[in-house]
Amino acid sequence: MKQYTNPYIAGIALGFVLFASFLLCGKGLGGSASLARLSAYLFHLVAPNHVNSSEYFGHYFAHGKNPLNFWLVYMGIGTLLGGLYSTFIHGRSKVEVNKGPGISVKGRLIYALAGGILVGFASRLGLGCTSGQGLAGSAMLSLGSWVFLFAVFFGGYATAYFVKDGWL
Amino acid sequence: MAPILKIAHMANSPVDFFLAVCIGFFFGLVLESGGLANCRKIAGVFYLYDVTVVKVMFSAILTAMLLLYATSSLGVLDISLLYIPDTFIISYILAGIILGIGMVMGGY
Repeated sequence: MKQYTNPYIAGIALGFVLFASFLLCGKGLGGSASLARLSAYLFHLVAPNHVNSSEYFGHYFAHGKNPLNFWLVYMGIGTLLGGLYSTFIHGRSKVEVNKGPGISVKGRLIYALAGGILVGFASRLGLGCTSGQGLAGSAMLSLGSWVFLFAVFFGGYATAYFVKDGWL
Repeated sequence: MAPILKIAHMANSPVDFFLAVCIGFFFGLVLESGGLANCRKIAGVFYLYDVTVVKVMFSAILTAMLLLYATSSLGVLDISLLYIPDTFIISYILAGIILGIGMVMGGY
């Protein structure tokens, strides 16, 4: 398994990717919207009326629109492919449950599910995740994005002690 | 002049979607190369055993910020056409805190 790229080099490269996105498309990067739209699409298959009447998710389907036909969904597909490609060229592709040394696989998955639910909710409440707000908004010096970013660190550090069994 | 697609009125066109896949590809490639697809590195930030994520994030923000500033100063990029999320301070504080809690639990 090859070493990860130097973090500052990776960071500068990521900055160029973000800048290219602004320069070409006028929009930044995003991660959570594709997942939100995919879940809305799947829920719509099961309970269309419920989703349509939802204040937030209903507009994804307004006027017969397909929620998956959205640039961030395409970006999400690209991100998955790019990440996968990187694991192949760096010899890191394997199936595993990555976790801290002191936790069982089941425990790790429960933590991941609970954390994922919180992150999913928060990313909709905050109009983005660490990509859309944290990276793209911050680079634009958006006040709200910086507030969001520091609140993320606050929430994480305030909780770290209580979930340390998961990682240490 | 940039942003190219907005000025060409091609936002939400197939070209836009194709570029989104390409940009996403490099986004994923760079994230994984830097170790940001590894949940233990994400969690490492909160226990200070590995602060790779902070190094990558802030170098990226700084790089993009300087490039945006330089190109808009030179008149190449019209910064007023770029997307900025609306400012909802209270929601963002709440959302950030909840996301931080979820992040340290889930390692995303």
